[in-house]
Amino acid sequence: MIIQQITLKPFAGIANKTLQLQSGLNVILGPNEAGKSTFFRAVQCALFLPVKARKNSREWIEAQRIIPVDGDTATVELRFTLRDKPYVLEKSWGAFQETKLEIPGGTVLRDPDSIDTTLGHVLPAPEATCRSVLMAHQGGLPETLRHIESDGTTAGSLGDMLRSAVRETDGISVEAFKEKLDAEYKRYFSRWDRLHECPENNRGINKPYVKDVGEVLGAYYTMERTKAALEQVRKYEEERDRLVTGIAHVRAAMDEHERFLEKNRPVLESARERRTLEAEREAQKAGLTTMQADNERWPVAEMESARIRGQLPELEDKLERLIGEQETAEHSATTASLREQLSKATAVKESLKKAETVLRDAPCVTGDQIESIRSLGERVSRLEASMKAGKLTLAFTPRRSCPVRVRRDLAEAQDSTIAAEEESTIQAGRRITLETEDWSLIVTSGDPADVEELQAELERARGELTSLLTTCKVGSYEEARDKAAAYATAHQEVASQQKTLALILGDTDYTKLMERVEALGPRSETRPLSEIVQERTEAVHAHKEAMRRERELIAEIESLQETYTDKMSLLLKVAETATREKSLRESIDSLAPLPPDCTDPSAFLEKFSAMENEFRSLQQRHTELSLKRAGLEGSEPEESSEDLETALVEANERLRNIRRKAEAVARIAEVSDRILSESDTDTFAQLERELVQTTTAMTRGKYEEITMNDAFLQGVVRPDGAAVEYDLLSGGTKDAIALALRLTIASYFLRSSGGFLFLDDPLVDMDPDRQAAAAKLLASFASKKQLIIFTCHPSHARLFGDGENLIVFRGPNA
Amino acid sequence: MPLTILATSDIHLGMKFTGYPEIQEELAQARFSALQKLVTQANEHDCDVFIIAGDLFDRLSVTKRDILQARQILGEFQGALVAVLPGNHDFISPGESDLWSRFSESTAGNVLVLAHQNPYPLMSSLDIDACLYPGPCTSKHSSVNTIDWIPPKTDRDSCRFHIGIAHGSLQGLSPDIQGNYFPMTPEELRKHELDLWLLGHTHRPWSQGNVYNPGTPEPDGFDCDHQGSAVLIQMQENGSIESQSVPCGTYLFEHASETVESVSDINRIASHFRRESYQRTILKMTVDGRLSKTDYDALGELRAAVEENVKHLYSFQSHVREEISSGDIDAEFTEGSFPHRLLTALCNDPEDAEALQTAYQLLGEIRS
Repeated sequence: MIIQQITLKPFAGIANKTLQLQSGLNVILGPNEAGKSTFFRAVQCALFLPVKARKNSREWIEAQRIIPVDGDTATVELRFTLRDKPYVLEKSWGAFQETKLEIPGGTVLRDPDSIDTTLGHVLPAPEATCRSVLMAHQGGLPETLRHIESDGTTAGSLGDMLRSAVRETDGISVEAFKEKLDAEYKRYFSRWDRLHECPENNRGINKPYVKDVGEVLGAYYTMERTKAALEQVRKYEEERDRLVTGIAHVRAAMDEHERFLEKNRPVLESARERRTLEAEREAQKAGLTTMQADNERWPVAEMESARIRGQLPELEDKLERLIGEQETAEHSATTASLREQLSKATAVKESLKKAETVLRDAPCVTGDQIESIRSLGERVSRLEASMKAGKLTLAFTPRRSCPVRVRRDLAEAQDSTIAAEEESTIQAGRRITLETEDWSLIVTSGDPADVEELQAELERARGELTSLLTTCKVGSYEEARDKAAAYATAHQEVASQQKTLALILGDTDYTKLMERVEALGPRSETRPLSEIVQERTEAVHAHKEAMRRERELIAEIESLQETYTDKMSLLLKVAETATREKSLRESIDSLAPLPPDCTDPSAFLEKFSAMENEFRSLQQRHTELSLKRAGLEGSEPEESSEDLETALVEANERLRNIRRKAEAVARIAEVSDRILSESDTDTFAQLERELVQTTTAMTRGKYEEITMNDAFLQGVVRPDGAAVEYDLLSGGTKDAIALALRLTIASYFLRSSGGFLFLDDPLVDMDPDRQAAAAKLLASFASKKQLIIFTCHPSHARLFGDGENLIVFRGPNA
Repeated sequence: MPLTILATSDIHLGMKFTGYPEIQEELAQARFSALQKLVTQANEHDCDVFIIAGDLFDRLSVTKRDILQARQILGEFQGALVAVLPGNHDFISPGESDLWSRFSESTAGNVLVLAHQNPYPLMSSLDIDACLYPGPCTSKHSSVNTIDWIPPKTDRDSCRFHIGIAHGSLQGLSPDIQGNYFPMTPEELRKHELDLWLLGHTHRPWSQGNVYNPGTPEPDGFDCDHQGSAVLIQMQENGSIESQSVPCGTYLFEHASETVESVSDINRIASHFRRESYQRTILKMTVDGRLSKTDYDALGELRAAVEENVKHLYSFQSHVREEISSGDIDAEFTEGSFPHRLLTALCNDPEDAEALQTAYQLLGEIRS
């Protein structure tokens, strides 16, 4: 953006004047009050001051200052180009307010917002940057340096210094802001644990902080105290409600008791008398009942006693009879036993006799004999078998019939006749003997001598066996064995019978027993003993019962006699008691009646007494509760729960609002810290180089380096290496450094666009050499950007070369 | 004969107003003034009965002076009877020495404390063909109402007007979430088949059918957003009821929430609160909205203007934010400068609006 023409028509103290500007260097020379600053201000107003503003606002006040004294409207026309394209901006303030911007192509914008938007695009930098960097008075530069010097925490290097210079271009010290922010943070968060959202060290209202209480904590304490107070008041109100309800209940109960007591007190005495009389009447009634019963009982007892006494002899006779019958039956039972013993002994004796006969008749074959018979039998059998063991067959056929005798082995010879020419066959074991009348033929199997010997042994054996059987009177071994068994049985039977007989007889013998039985005489008949005993037991019991009952009756009668003396006396007493009972009943009926719901005077009196006791307890309870209530109400809170509920809502709302504001401060701190910690080293390294070059040029090589200590601009270094402290530098050198800084920063903001820089008397306080150097440097700057220099010093103006760039002001309206 | 009643409730004489120290005394005294106005109005309308449906007094421990002053005002009623129902703030303890025994000691014959749950027939003593059925409170809180004792229509003595008087929350009208304030329901009221119900406890005036809640005659806080009134009731022989509101409050409590978008809004609001009626208003004001930088300064003038005109500005809560755009930041701060970077960073996130506003103010304070 290159400003080409500024026309004031009118503006502030200038009625109508135009200033033509070039794209490079422009030097405007004029004495003080000639109107140079008016043009400077006119450009600022044209670019940034709205024509409409609320009355008394900052903008309105500024507008008032530019309105001519003799008019009501101030107008500025500003012609400028952007990339060689023309723009015309015209603004009027005061009575006639107007803004218009003619843009390339001839279109005229009149809407302030559209115009501001368009200007935003054509201006070399935003408004504030323009104001503070590109259009600032020179006097602002030392101020910037003073900030830098005092800002020990931000300027650690030349880059830092430049950074600070940029940061603080608006005249706002970061340090001052941080101090302010810290103070704000402390004002809100002092003693508040923001992380845990509670007081530091969790110190609540029971042990609150007193000093350095921040607004958040203060609001928190207020809220907590209100909450605690509300709880306290609620407790108070609940306790009071509990007490008054308790008192009301006690009072209601007292009233009920009192009503009962008052209502029933009049019948209290009569109830007591009624209780006494009714007790006596009950006693009389009980006595009368007893006497009436005794009166009925007495003759009955006497009659019963007499009857029992009459029954006793009969019972005693029966008992005596039964005793005799029992003795007889017991004797009969004894003789029957002897007779039965004899009978049994006789029977056994008969059996014994028979057994003895059998034993006597049975042949006695001994065991040895039986063994011998068996042995001989076996021998005979073996020999016979041996004889039969051979196999002889003799066949012959007689020529003529002939009688023959054939003997086979040991068998008996058999006689027969064999017909002529009849073949006869004879078979045997070891020997066949065939005899005819004419001859005798013996055929043997084997050695005839052995057969002969065998046959002889057989015949001997047979003879011995036959002899033994004969001795034993038996025909065979089996018979001998059977007879031996029969003998043993008979012998055993005899022994058994003898034993049975001895058992029956015991320590007597049969004869003596028979003599005793004969001495008993004939048998007598009785009832069964058990029957007699049963009847006797019953009779004894009946007798005893009769005796006991009689004793009882006698005792009863004696008791009645002792009580009443006699029956007549008893009758008299019955009459007397009945009369008394009637009298008592009449007395009771004459008493005041009990309450309708009460029939028993004792129960009534007990209830009355209980009600009296309860009433006293209730009175005591009432007193206790009333005292408690009075004590409680003595410490009645100033505010009600409703008041405190409202207060708590407000306290909570206040705490929320304060916390919202406090969090905003915390957020600012967070963002600030982040911004201040951001690194933009590269940007400022380039600026640093430019600043050193500019400074060297400005001081004409007198100083080649700017030195920094840890904190701030320390000074400059000469080419010979000697360092000169900043404080020891001349005012001109300081201004040179400031101008160098200004040009460097302006270059920084105009680095990417064309634009202008206004400077107001930049060479003041410099020596002529430095002025020349500075002028050269400024001319160099003007070769790249539009530079508009105001000066009241003609010598300074001349330093910028020929007059083409020079505009001379002679007076405001000249 | 028709029956004319002036009904009120919740006068809360003796209320301390500790939250309003600057005007505490005036607010407290205004409640007596309201009672005085009502008695005057009742006399002007020839009322037969003046009924207070609970909470004549704010607390049991009101001073003797307050009791005497109340008595003196009520004593000026020229009708037949002033009937006072103990409410939950000035509940009665029957048979005990309490506020009401002290009050009764100092009252004349035409003031009746409705102390018991029983009918109060007015015919024999006052020649008024009416019977009152009160539900006096006997504690500050109760989950049970006090009207259950009222006998059914068939068991009641004959008279022309049967009037129920109770104090407690009414379903649909009063906020009583925990049911601690003698809660009643419209069905329960209807069930008793009375000719008129007069209720107290809810400070807002309300009526429906034959049920009247007069509300407090003098507003006592910001939850009481009306001018304070009682109700004048005329019961006709034919059973019809006519009523009219009787305004009597001195002060108004108002919570104004305003939104400003421009200085014209500020001027409009300031002008609104210059009305004369606001000279009796205790105002709590909340302002929000966004103002341009040029208009923002005028916000302070709004507060001053409002404070100057209302009776008492209880609080002025401003959530108004200065409209700070990135263009504004560019216009005011040098690009790359710390303020520019800080404000630009905060300008990016709408959640940082408060921080942006605060930062802008802090920077402005430093710059100035």
